[in-house]
Amino acid sequence: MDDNIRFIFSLSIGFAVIIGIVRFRRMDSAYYPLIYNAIVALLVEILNRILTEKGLTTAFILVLNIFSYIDFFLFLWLFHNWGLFNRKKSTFITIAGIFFLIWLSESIFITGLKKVNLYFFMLYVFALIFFSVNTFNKAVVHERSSIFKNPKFWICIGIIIFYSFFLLTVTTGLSLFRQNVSVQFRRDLQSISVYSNLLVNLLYAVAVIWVPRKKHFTSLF
Amino acid sequence: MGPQEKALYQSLLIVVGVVGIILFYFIITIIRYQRRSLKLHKEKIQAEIDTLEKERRRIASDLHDELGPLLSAVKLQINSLNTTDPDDEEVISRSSTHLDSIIRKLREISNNLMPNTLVRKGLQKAINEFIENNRNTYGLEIRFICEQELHLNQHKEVNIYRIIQEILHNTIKHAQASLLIIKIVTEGDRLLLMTADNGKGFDYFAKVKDNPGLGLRNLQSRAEVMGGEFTCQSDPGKGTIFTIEIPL
Repeated sequence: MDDNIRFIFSLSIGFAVIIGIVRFRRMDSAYYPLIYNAIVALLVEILNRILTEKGLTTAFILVLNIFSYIDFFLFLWLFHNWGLFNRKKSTFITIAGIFFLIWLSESIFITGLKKVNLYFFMLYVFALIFFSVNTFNKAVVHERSSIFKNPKFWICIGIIIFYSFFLLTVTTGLSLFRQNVSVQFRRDLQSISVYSNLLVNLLYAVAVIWVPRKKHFTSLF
Repeated sequence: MGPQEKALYQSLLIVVGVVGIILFYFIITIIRYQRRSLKLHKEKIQAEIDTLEKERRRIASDLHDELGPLLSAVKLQINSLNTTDPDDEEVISRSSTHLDSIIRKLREISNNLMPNTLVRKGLQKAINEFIENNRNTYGLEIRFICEQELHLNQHKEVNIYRIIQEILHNTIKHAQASLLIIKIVTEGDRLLLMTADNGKGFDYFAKVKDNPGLGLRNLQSRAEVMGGEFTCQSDPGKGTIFTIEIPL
């Protein structure tokens, strides 16, 4: 796949960002982490393009490693806002803290900052898939209006699809890269993630459209 | 890419395709079943509410139209007794007073079950009357704000009236509040019913998780059958705010 097409596809997260910014003041604040995440993801995609063109791949790996934790943290915050951890701030902080320690340990002691934190990636991806499946099931069972209009449903489907394919390609890549595979094969393998990324970015855009409006709770007094 | 890598890549694409198709089928099936289950759930709640309302209407009508006149006739007959014995006169007078309070209580019960004003004069008047009857009776100041004319079908009027009744009873029973504000506004194609009290509040999510109680479930069900959305915001010490958005 051509690099330009890959870049254009990756910018599709911009739809969610634009809709999110337009609706930001009126939307339920519980969904803010999703918008922050979309903005960070868009910045990372642009940085990826700039740094790759300048040949600064190590710098991009550093950005990617930092993004991995931010991505996890923002999704964790979103799940916390949805009441996944029984709305207990302590559980949310504990999970975020444990994953931060794992991320830090891998970044410093195992892979270092110049290599991709693949083990942390796999761990947080598994965690996000489990959180999403849980929230998805809860939404299906408890939702009393059309599930089509439930942003949780779209976001969870997005996470499950994207990160499942991501895990599939990463684990396949990990086992194959030990053997001597061609650069073309690696690029083609990555293109699977590009298509799933495009699909998920569009799902996020749909989800942002359906994010409920902010409730004016204090208007009576 | 060599032929071996090409074959490997094709196998991988097939795996991805198969997983994709399974995921897609899984999602479509879930949506279909959720829709079906939702429809059944709504029909069930609707049937329950309809039965309840019908039964209330029947009991209210029986009390008002059958027992009421009967008691009035008994009172009339007792008052028409002619006696010169002061003890008998006192018994007649006490019986007459008791009968008066029974008739009054009967009217109250009948009115609570199905308010005449709601059926004849509409929601706004019925709420005003209901609030007037409960104003300051439990040390609770009630303010009702509704500046627009409401045009709703009877089904919605009854449900909104019941919601307000339930919220007021809950506030009196649990909130220990001194002020309750009830506001109804129409915005475009939706009606917004908001209530706020300055009572002791409660942990809504903990309550819903443990046992939401009949009152909260009733509010939720009535909002659902109208296709509305029910939201509650409450924290200990911060009062309770209910918001119900109903499509018009």
